[in-house]
Amino acid sequence: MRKMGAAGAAVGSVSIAGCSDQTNPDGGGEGTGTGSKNVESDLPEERKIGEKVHVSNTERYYAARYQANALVDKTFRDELGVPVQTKPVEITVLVSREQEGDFHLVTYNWTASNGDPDGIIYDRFHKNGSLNYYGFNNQRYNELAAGQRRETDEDARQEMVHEAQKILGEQRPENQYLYNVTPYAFNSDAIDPDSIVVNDKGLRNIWNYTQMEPTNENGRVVVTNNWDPSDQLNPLHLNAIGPSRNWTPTRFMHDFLFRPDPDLQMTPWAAKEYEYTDGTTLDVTMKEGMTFHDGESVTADDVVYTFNLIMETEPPAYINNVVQTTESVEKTGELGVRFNLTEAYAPYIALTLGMVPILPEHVWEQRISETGNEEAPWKVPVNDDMPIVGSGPFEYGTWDQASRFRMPAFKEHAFAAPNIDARVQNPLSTRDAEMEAMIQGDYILLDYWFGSPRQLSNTVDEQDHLSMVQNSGQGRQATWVNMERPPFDDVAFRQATNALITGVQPTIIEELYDGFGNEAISPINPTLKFWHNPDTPYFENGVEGAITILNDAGYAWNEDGELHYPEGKTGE
Amino acid sequence: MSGETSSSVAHSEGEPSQGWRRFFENLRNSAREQAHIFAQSRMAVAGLVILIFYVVIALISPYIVPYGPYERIYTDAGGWAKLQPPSLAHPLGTTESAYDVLSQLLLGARIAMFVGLLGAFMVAIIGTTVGLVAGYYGGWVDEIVMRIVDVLYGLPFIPFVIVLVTVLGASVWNIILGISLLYWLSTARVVRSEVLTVRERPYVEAAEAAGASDFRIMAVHILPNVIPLAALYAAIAVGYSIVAQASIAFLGFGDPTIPSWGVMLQRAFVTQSFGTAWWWVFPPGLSITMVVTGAYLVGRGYEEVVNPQLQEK
Amino acid sequence: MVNKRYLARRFLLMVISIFTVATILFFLFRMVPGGPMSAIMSPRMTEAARQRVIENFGLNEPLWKQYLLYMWQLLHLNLGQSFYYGQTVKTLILDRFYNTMALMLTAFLISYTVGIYLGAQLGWIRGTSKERAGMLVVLLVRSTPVFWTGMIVLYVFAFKLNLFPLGGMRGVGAQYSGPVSKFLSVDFLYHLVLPVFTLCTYYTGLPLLLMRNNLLEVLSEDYIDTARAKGLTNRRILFRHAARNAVLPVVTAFAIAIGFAVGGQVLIETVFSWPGLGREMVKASLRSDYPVAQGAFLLLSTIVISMNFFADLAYTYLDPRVRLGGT
Repeated sequence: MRKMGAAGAAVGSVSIAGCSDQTNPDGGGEGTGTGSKNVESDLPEERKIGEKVHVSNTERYYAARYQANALVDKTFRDELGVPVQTKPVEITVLVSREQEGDFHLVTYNWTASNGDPDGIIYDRFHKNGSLNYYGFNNQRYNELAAGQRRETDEDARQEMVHEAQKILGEQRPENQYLYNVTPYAFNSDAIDPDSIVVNDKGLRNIWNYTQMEPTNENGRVVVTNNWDPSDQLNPLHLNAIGPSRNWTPTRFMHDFLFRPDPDLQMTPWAAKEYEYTDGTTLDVTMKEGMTFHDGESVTADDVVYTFNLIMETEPPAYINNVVQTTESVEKTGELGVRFNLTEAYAPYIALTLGMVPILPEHVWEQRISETGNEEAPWKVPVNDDMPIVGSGPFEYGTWDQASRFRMPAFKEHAFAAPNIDARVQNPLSTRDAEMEAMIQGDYILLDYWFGSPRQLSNTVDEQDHLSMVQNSGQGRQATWVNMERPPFDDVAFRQATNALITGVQPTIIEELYDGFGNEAISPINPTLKFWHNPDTPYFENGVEGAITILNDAGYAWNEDGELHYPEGKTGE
Repeated sequence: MSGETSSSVAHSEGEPSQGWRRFFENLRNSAREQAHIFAQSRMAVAGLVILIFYVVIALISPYIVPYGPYERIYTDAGGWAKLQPPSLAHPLGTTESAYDVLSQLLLGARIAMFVGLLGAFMVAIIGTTVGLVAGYYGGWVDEIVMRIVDVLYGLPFIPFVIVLVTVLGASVWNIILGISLLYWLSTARVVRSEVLTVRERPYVEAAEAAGASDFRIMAVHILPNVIPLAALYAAIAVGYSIVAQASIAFLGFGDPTIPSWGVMLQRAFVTQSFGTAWWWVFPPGLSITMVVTGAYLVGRGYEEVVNPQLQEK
Repeated sequence: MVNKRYLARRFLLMVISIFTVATILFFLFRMVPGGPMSAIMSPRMTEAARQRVIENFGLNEPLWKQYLLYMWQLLHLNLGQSFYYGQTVKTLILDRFYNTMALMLTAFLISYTVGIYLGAQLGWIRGTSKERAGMLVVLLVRSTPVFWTGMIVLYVFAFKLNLFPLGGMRGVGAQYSGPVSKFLSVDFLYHLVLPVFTLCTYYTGLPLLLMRNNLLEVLSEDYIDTARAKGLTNRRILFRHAARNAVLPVVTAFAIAIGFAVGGQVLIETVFSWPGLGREMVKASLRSDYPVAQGAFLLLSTIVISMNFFADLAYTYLDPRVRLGGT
């Protein structure tokens, strides 16, 4: 348990879990750190640790996360003498600065797609991972990360994923703030509470929307606050597949061969049965009787058309999971499709078949040629004149851009016809107005809640017609460090950072999230029971733990309390 | 509009030093005259009192604030003292992040007065200079200046400043830059048209005939006539600048490390405290209203100086 | 009386101004950090795919080429296609523009009617303590930041009293047969009340003060004394003679004020969740959706510049003291 790597061996003693620091209610947050710092006089100026930039979202974008960053940085400055400055930027700027490596620390929330750990293990931390902006490159880890995605035996894959988490825990390229617990509210007068299904996507999951039972007239049309239904609805466009908001309408209007069930296990949806004939050949038989919203049947031809379209035109959003993993797709019968993989790829069902919507060939062929987008089908516009035609449980209704999007239920759906009549996205620009809309009965449920959890739960307590459910999601809020820049190139400093953040965690959870969160140690959330490694090492004792680690690694403070690099090392 | 204040002074060109002396004399006379009219308007005096009050607060706030603007307040139990209603220890309660509202409010006066006064100063300087030059030289100089004014009119203020702040970084300085870039236009236009009438006056023509330099004529003979007008626009610009800064901050593009009134309101807004924490919402909003009203009242007093028909009899 | 050559020249200058603004905007938006890719990019996109998207948007060309292409398209009134929405910019911003205008113009018409009336009344009773109290109220209301007023109005009338909707432009169930019925429906008007009321508290100040000041000037002129001598009633003098003459400059100011107000709409749109152009242009600038940001800014700029143009013309036409054709 908690084996330390070479650099971490010396600090093993401070990482005993469960020993919380009773004297400081802040867990080292803002109290006065009394750990005995290794203070030296006459430290050379070039060893002094210079200003470090913590790239953060703005307070307007996400108040609690900005505050958490400010708290961590203040602790760095006040307690460790490291001048870390919070730099709030627009979210687009945050993304581009991260990609360009223009940061020391960067913080946001991230989630594994469809419950599969590959997006975390490989994409983010493998040396060739598309999200590895941190310069993390660990030989053993690279082997594990590449190996787990080829491993088709689940238990063997689990072992590799667990070991990978261990390395991440020791090396600490990522330091988790918390696993968020998100509350959602719904109108329990209008909807039968027993029919509500909450999963990591909250209430905006297809199981919930198809199973909800209205108990009165109001509940037949479910009005919700989905932020901004004004983005791109073209299912081949980036915004319709990425982490952005139109994920939900796209998922609801189309069918997929597989979907993650409420427990995040991939389960056949449009597929009836499937079989790997060998490691790289997957045969899928589709369900019978499915139709598109215009009445045409859903057949193997549509699936083949969709995949061929993607492989030929390479919509940017599908390159990793479809173009690079799929060799060819062929029809084996009216409802039978064979997928030939380029190489064994364990997450194929979760990340490829679970992500690609089934598009109607007869509609898309015509649309693409009419609009002249043969090269770039993701640019085909979607609007009331050219609505989405899919086969999903909800249809495209009417769209008042930026103000309202109405999706009537597709009552003819072969196996998932919703009980409600329609879903309406009607966004309001403030959290106050959203909450008030719940109180007044304008909203039936909240698709998202980005406001204060405490306020929501207080409101629900006061209102008889409202109920709350909460879910711990599958993501984590974390800060990533740039290992190509000192002092984060030093594993000891990263471990000290982790100790500091672990110490601040209780304050973040209790004060900034009103208790709506759990302490976090691994990039993989415990809700992914099968993949999460509860023995992931982490460092604790807050500021004092950090001081001990830094002392042992040769860092020193001058009389003014400013931290300096170990002897022989100079940095920025 | 009228230039009564100095047209009665005899104008003959003498030695440069005399000219400058006359300039200051004119200025002093007109200032005295203006102050007199100004003092008669009770509203203007009231406005001035409000402004001075807030300037004083701004100056002394660092020494009298009970807490740091971002100093965490704890409850006895050790948790954060969030959204505490007013009490003896915290006369205006605390914020969602457990900061003292009164301290933030007092320090916010600094930002407001800084932005207001500096913004107004920039507006007056730029507007007057441009208006003066354009009106005096006329011809192609005027043409170019007026075309620039036209173009800048075409940039909507708040969206433009938001883009500016995104490009250059969120800081009070960049908001002042935005104000300086776009708010001088009206001042310049009005000053220019005033200059057009003043420069037709006989004493200006006399000065020209006597070979006075352009700079001298503008500074000595024309400027004193347009100063009241510039001051009027500056007074109004104090209010405009403060509201502009608060608006930008309210939309979330202010500098969050500085406790301005706009940032305070934005925090109350994003943390959904608008309906509950009146002690946090009303003080900054009312302060903005008071300061801006003060500036308007002063401006109105000045308007009576400039436009005698408005004077109360 | 209006000189054709003068008109043509002014019009040409206006067009040049608009194109200059377009140039400024083109380069300004390209300085916004982040760039268009970060808003629309899938995090798992490979470098090659990234390049293809950049090429597809024409962003791989040298800047001057992009600029020339943009100007050339602009000449043909082609504003391009949004990177983010994939829609043509024209439909996208026109939609938002109507929403903004519906709100703003309603508020303006009410404010100017009320402002002119109250201004005339205040001017008429000048010097009284009633007038001073009235002026103080006007100044106080006009000094209140409009977003703050909006929040309080929203809180009181929508949250506490439940009299009006919480924001947005449409009720949930509302259906429309077409664009006209959309803006004339009861549902829409119901949503319009609070934002219009908030805007009116702010907008009314300017026409009111202008009207009052103009009236004071007019009242000092000879013909008013003549009217008085004729024994006309005060009301008749005020509204038939004085107010009629005082109102012209206020009308001119209307045009300029619209130009100024248009940029500030984003505040009220944020408070009332109004799907207007102001919020859209701020969002587009932040995500570097150049075509939309440029299109939206340019649309507003064109309004401001042309409003100024009309104000100038109106002024020239209405005030015989200004001779046309300049010097």
